[in-house]
Amino acid sequence: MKIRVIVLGEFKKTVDLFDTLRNIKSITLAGICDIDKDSLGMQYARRLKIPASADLAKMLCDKKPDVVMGATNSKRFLRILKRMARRGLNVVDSKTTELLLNIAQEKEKEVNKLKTDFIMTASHELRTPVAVLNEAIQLILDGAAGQTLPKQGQYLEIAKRNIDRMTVLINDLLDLSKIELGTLSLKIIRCDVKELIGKTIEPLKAPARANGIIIRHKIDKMLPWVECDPDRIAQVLAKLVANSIKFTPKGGEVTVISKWYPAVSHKINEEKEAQRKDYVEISVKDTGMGIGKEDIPRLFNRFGLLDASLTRKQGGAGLGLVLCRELVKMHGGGIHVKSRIGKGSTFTFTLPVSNGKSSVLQKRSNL
Amino acid sequence: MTKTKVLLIDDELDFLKVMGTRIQTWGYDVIEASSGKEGIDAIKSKNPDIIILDYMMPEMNGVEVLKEIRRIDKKLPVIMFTAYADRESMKKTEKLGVSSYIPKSSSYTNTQLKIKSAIEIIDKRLRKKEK
Repeated sequence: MKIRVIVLGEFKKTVDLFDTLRNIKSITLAGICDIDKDSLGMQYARRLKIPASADLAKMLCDKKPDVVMGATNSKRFLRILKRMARRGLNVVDSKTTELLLNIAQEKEKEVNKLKTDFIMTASHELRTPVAVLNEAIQLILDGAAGQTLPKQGQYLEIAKRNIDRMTVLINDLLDLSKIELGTLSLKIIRCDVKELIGKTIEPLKAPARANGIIIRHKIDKMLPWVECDPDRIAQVLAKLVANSIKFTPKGGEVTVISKWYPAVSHKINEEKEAQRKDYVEISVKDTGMGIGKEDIPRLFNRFGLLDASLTRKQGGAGLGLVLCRELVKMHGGGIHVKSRIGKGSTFTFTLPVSNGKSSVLQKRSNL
Repeated sequence: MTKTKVLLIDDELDFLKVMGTRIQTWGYDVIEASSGKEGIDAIKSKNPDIIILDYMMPEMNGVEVLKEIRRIDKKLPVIMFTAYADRESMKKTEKLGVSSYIPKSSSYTNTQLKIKSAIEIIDKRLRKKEK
C-alpha cells in the first residue's frame, strides 16, 4: 500500500524534492499545495499533472493524504503545520523534510558512484583477456601457426571483427565511467581542422568503399585553428562516421562537412551587445535509412543504454553516441541531429575557434 | 648473427604465450618464465640479452625480481610493465636501473608497439657494443 503524501509550500530545492518523492516507489505524490499559484512548485506540478491547489483544506479532504510534508520556511505555513499535527495528522516539518531530501540525494550519489566504480573495474578486467584473445587470433592470421585454410581464415576474420567491436565497447564503457567519476581529462591544444578530419577519415575510406559507400570531405576554403583535444575529437568523428556507414545502404554516401562561423556581434539594444563566439561546425551527413522522430530524443540519453529496443535496433551504437555527446560537452559544445526516414541523417557538433594563444590546457570532466 | 634472446617474465600464462610468440615473429629468440623464480633460473641457465618483466606478480613481485636480477648482473637491460602510471613503483625501481616502463593497461596495440620499439632500441645498442 503506497503512502500518500501532500507537499505544503516550496523550498528553493523544490524540484529536487518532488523528483525524489516521485522516484520512491512506495510513495504517491498526491498533491502540492501552495498559496502562490505560480510558484515553481505549482508550475512543476501542473506540468506533471500532479494535483496543485492553494486550498489546503479542500486538498486534505479530497486527496486524504497519509502524510503532509512541509517544504517551506514561511511562518504562516509552519503554524498551519503545527495545527495539523495537533489535530492528529501525520506531519513532517520543513527541517525534517530537508533532512530527508539531503539523505536521499546523498544516497543516490553513493549508489551512482558504486555503479560507476563497478562498471569501471569490470571494463578494466575485461581488457586483458580481450587483448590476449585479439593477439591469439591475429597471430594465426599472421601465419604464426602455419598456413590457414580459406574457410578457417573466414571464421577467424569474423572472430577478429567481433573482438574489435568488444574492444571498442569496453573502451567506451571505461571512458564513460571516467567522465562520470570526473577523472577523464582533455589535453586541449590548437588543431588544424582539415588535417584532423583528413587523418581520421583516411583509414575509414577503403573499408567503406569495399561496402559500396563513399566518404567525402567538404571543407570551407578558410578554416581557422580550433581549440580541442585532437585524439578525443578524432574519436567522436570516427564514431559518427562509423555509425553513418552502418546505417547507410550500398551505393550511399557519407560526407563530413566543416564550416566556419565567424564571431558575430550585434546590438540588442542601446546597452547590450550580443556576441556569438567564433566556432567551427563539423557535420557528418549520410544518405542512410534515417532515424524516426520518436527515437531521436533517446539517442543521446545515457539511459538509452538500458533501452533494449533502441540498442538492438542500433546494434549497440547507443553507447558510442552518449560518449560523443559527453566528449563534445567537455569541449564546451553540443551535438545535434537532423534526420528523415529514408533520406538520411546529419549529426553536427561545434568546436571553439582558437584565440591565437597556443596554450596547452588540461580539462577535467565535472559532474 | 645470432638472434637476440629475450626473456619474458609474466605470471599470466596466456599473455605469456601470445606475447612470446609475437616477439618471436619480430625475429628474436624468446624464453618464457611464468614466475620470478623461474625467471631468475632462466637468467642463470640461458643467458638472455634482454628481460621483459611484469610488475604485478603473486609470489615475487616485479621489484623483488629486479633486485635479484641486479644481484646477478648490474647491466642486464630490463623493460618493465606497469599496471598503472604508478610513480611509487617507478621510484622504487629507478635506482635499480630500468630501461623503459610500459603501461600494460593502455590499448593493446600501443603496448605492443612500445614493447617492439623498446626491444629494438636495446638490441641496436647491444649490437653496437659487440662491434
